[in-house]
Amino acid sequence: MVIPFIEPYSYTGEESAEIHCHGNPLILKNILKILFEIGFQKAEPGEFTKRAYLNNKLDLTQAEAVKEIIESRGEKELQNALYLKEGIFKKHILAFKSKLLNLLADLSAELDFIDEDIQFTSKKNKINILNSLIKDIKELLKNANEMERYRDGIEISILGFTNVGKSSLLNYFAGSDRAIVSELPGTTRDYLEILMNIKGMPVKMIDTAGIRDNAENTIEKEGIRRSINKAKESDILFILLDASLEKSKSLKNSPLDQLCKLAEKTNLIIFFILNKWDIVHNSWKVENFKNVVINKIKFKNKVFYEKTSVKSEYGLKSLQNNLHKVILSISPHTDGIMMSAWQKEIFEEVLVELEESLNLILLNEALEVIVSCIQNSVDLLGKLTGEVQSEDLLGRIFSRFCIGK
Amino acid sequence: MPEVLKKNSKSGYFRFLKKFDCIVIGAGHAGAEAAHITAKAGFQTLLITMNVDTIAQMSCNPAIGGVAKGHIVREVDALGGIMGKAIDRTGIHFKMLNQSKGPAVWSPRAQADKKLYQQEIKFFLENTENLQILQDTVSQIIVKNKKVQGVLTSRGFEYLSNNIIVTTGTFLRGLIHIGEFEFKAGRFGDKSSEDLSASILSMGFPIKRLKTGTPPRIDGKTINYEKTTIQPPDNVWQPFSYENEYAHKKPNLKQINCHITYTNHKMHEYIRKNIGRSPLYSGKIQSTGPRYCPSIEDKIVRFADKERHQIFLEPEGLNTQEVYCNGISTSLPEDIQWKFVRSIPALEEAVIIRPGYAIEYDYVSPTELTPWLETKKINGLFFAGQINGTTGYEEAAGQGLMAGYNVIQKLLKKPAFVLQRDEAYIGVLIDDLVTKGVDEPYRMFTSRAEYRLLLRQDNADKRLMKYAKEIGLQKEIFKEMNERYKKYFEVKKLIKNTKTDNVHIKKLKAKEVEVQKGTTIESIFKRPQITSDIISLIFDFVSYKKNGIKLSQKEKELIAMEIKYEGYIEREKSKTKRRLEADLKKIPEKINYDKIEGLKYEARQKLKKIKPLTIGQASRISGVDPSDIDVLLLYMKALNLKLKY
Repeated sequence: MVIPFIEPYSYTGEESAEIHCHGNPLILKNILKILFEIGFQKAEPGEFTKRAYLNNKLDLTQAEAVKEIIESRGEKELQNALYLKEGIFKKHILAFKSKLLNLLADLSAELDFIDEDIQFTSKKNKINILNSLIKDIKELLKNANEMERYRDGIEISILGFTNVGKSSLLNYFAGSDRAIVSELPGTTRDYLEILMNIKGMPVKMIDTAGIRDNAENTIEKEGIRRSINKAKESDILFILLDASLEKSKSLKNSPLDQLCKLAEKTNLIIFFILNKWDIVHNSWKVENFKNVVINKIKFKNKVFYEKTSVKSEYGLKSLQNNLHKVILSISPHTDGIMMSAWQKEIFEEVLVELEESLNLILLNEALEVIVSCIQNSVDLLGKLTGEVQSEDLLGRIFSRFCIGK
Repeated sequence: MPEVLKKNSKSGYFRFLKKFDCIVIGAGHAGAEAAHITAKAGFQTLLITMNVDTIAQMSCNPAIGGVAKGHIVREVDALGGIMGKAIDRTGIHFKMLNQSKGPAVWSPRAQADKKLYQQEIKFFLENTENLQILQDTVSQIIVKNKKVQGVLTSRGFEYLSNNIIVTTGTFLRGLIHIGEFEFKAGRFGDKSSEDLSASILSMGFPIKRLKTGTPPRIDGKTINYEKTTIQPPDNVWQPFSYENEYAHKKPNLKQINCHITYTNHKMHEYIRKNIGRSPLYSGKIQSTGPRYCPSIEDKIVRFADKERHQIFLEPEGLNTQEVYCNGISTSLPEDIQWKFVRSIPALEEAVIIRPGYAIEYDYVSPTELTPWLETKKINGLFFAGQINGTTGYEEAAGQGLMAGYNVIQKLLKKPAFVLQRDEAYIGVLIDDLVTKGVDEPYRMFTSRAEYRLLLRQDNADKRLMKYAKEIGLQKEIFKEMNERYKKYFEVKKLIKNTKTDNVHIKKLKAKEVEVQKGTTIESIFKRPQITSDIISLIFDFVSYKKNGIKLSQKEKELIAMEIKYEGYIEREKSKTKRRLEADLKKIPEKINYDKIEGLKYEARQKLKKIKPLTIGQASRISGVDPSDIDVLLLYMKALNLKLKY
């Protein structure tokens, strides 16, 4: 099936066509082969968007947003990307830029209208404004970094000694939520991962290689090392323990101990999943477990203790509910704006300029040098919205001050 | 006896037989510079003015310079102009503004003895070889095949030249308003020029109107100075002209004070009550005035919550009682002016000699011009000064000088001379004019320059004097300039190579500057709060005197500043490289913007109108976005490919 688009009503604004066919890769390959033979060329990455941009179908920030849509998986992420396309990001930049321009106007007025009887912004006020701008930018970057999690999804690593039921737990989630169990390419990957969608968030759950206390062979040791490293990069940790082993070993000195210690410092959220709880002795309480197994580790985040039996599905609903709550709580604010690496880089450069300006003001350095830093940051922001036209700075000055002898 | 004139029996006009290389119409601040430079470069020049007695008249305030404007005067001087020299000889109150900030925004300003200034310029022009001065009024510019041939004057004389510079200021159909009263004038007391506008219009130039204003001049002996604040001139004279700077000259005239007073609530109330009688508010004046130079009635309406406005009482000269009331420019009726002036402290008994007034005048949109100030429509026709929508003596002088330079280039069959935005305020000025056009009288501000740190008033000689040398000017002083910068270079090298020893450390410690042994002198300059005191101490550590180098305190501080802000200056320099790239990409002259697919409507219209010469210039046109530039670049690339194969 071929759908033609007549210019300028296509995405790029040029004449174009879409070919829809059966998903068989072989058929696809053949169609492409024929097209290339008669003179078609492969699009470069982002070429359609670039053409759309050149044909004025999109502005720069919108063009960036399209990239996000292509890459987005979760619903929430998609929603965010759509906001971007609508120009919310641009609005944010413009609001920020406007504040910055007011400051620039104030400082420029001080350079150009020395003879005027004007009360210029005080040093204290300049410092306050810059501090607030710096705070704004840090907030934007922080939110963007939080949003970044979306792109790869929230990551949950399941860790535990061998034979505690990690795979069964994974399979449970794989079956209950919409999930894809992926076989990742490459032979060195010794863990399984599934992709799910929880509360609109893409979530990746990883089953790592089992940990044995006294692994002997080097391959196994390497596997354990990798599992631990993987877990460190995650957002949530499922530490699965066999609660039925009466003399549950203390975690102390085991590889898992390192992770728990790490949790003292990082934002890792830990779920201790006390599996096989159904066959545990009645007298065995979570409290005992804490005392014996966890050993006075002070966790920075809330730690969850889930009594489960994966086999009988006992406690799994509760685990799932708590997990959903946690995911909601660590989901970024809806007003957070996701940024591409390029956009972030620009904001970071702006931040450097502003911090430098602040420093120069504190040191009473030459005003025109301070202005040059602030002007630089305005120019940088201009790159984001695609305007390089110098703003009507003088217009701002004249509307703010009574100028003229 | 050889013939001077020949009568044309058909038209009855007399034709002046000598053909000129250049004719300049108008002898204000633009015309004077234009005529002087072309004559000085060896070309036969005719300067036509309606009144020889008002050559280089200061129609508005009796002052030259100011922030950014002072920069322009320094540039004009470096390029061989006369404004700086004239003000140095006739200034009665010099001040380097903005000295509390860094050197890039220091700017000289001076009150002039207005009459002496004029005479000085007139005398200068009279003594310029190859320059002929004529009192007459040009009524028509003669054009044949889109090329200027000469001018026709109102007394029926023809003067021929293929290069004409029009510098008519506010004279084109000038109309003065004092309240309800209005009359035709080029300036209070001078006739306007009525016919030349029609001639310019008939050549196809769209003519628009602008407005400006001026305050009342009052009798100095009726001012109660005891109620004013004294504003003294600088103790140390810093001249405008490099010639005087290098020669360490002293000011020529006696230096006197200015005085400051303020408006008050009573006056504001009175003006507010009578605002309806201002032609600005009654609707009589429709044209736009400058936002940065509002009339007192504008200030009171637009900034209603401001309790008082500053007034500078500026003497118009040493041999006059007239005082210019800087800050209360007005178009209110004379009876109101008397009353509001007398409501101002110190002016209770003041007598008005000349009332303030507003003036409306014709200008031609500068987007009609190339960056070398020649019109795009008529070959050999140049416009400079207020006719291009600017305001200010300095802005006019800068343009006049550049128009003159380009006539010279043309006569020498050399490429046009265009100053870049990173080279001079004059470059910023002209690029803004021809690229963006104007919608209010254009005045220079340092905020208009994106390379503010590079365009300092002190280094205009280094930036520009080489161009004057190329046309045979400033030969002597050029050597001195080179010496000076060579000296700076050597001292900087020494500073880079000098490290602190124990004696230095001890001396610095006495000034509460802690350094370790082996610290470079250079790095100490980069520290905060290095006072001029410490700077001169540190210079003593450097062995520049052995090389026979002498440095003034001012020069030491300048070198210290340059070292301190080196990083920022270098960053701006690197930005200029990027700009240069865009400004070197020429747009083919015969490009057809209608053929380029993907250009936005507005961008297409603007590009067609302004016909930018380079990609850089195109990108500075408002309404032309980066995406349009991309489209343009893609089109040019495609065009190039087609040309190749």
